[in-house]
Amino acid sequence: MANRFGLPDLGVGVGLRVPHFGHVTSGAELGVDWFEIVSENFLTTEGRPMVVLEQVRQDRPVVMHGVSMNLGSTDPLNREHLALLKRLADRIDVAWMGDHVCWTGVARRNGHDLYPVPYTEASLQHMVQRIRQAQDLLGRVLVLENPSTYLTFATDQIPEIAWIGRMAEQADCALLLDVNNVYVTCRNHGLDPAAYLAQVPWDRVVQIHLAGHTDHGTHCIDTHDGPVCDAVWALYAEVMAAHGPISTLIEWDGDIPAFSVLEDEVARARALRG
Amino acid sequence: MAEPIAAGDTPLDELQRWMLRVVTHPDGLTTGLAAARDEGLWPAGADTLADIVPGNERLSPEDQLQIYAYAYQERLREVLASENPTVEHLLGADRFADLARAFLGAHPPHSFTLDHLGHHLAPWLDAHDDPVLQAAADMVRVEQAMDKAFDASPQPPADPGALAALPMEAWATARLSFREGLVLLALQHDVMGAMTAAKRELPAEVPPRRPAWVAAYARDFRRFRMALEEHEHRLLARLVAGDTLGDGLQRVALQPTVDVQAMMGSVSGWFRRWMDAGWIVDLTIEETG
Repeated sequence: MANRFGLPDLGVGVGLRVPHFGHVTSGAELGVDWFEIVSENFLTTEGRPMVVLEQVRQDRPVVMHGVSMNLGSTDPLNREHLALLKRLADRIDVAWMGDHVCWTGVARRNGHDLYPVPYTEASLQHMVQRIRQAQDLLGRVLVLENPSTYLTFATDQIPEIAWIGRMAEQADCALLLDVNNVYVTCRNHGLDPAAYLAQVPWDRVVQIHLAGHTDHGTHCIDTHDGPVCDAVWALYAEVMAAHGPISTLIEWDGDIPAFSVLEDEVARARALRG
Repeated sequence: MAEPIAAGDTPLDELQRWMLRVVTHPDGLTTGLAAARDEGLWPAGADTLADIVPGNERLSPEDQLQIYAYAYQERLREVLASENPTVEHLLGADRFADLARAFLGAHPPHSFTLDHLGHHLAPWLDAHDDPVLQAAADMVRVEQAMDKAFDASPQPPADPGALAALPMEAWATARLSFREGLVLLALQHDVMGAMTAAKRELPAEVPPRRPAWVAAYARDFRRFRMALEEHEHRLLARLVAGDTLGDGLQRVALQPTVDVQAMMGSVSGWFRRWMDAGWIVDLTIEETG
């Protein structure tokens, strides 16, 4: 299904991570279609990370995925941060850029985590205004990811995916649907992943994330330190059958394995894309 | 263009200030909850924690907040440990974790990037009245220098043949260019042995307190450190600052502790090391007259 933004289907990619810098610039054949970077890891360096990024960009599309835009916070948007993001996006000519539906800090303190937004009417209007403001400053549509959450607030008024759908429509932004996050959040809050996915505004989804998580029995944590589990692959297969193909990324950030392990996950995703 | 939204005193602002205080308190969640009450950060209208975070049948409100509290300490400890593996080896994982927690309490993160997280770590360790931590501070300096070297723009080394072909009389006015990522350190502790022991996973040893000189650099996507002799460090520092070789040698020779003859005997060996490590990237000859 084509998205309403006309952004292309990039195939299946992986995150560009330091342990793989040598391999991805070695000239070896890479079984991946594109790379995603954590934007903040490339904002304050002109050295090897940037050299590697520019080299991989010569052969493949790159997407910027940030973790610190802090869109849900009541702090003013950090214009220095946004200016650095814009400069990097222009320099690398990225396919698109985004962040998360969350807040990461307040009162000029940064918790370096993806904290949940209370799903209220007031926070929705706040978030919409912030996304519009950021999109104006960046001159691009933002691609925002549904979070993994571990708590709800007593003030919550709207189901998460309904809130996110209204956010995307009112801010006219794109969405990154993290299927693992859907699974984790639904497990943690006793929700039905199929019902969640049924409410996703698919014409706004330009990218999918797949990742591993840790199951603690009473709850799941989005750890990105292992392979995608079968239940998440099953959800992905359903999504692809109904709405695919959509650009897909394998995330693996802890206990990072050999690149060939990621290529195996990419191959599995490719097979499910049909 | 819209103006930034002011923080103000909205319920969202109250909720966020409360939650950040609670989940990032250096002494843990229970203390964080108490501190939030004492500091007037408890959201208006909420009598109990369940009035803010209701929890569910499997996890209490405290359990749910604890996930974020644990993640904060653990994520940032991991960053500090990954940037300072030799320091963690020296101190042991438990003591390193305790120190990381205390450091984060003193220097909580403000930046959008974690690259600056350990910026104050070396001086913070130095300020402790503990010789082990003061030695650890110098290990942090070397680790951070190697990270800085890794992030610098890679440059191809100068052609050794071109340097070898330079006439002897031209060397005095030769000006060398060094790779951007070369970082020179003058330390109070001789950390090299302890850092090598950590790298090889040998029993930890506390670096002895004596002056030491170290160069940090990167090559082929790997970080390196190299011990320098005192006057080698001085000469390198002069050359990196832009002195010609003649001027640099002259300035170093003026130091009262220098045995000029011995130093001159060492210079060619130093040059070979610098060339082998790929530090010299260019050479120009200063025009005379």
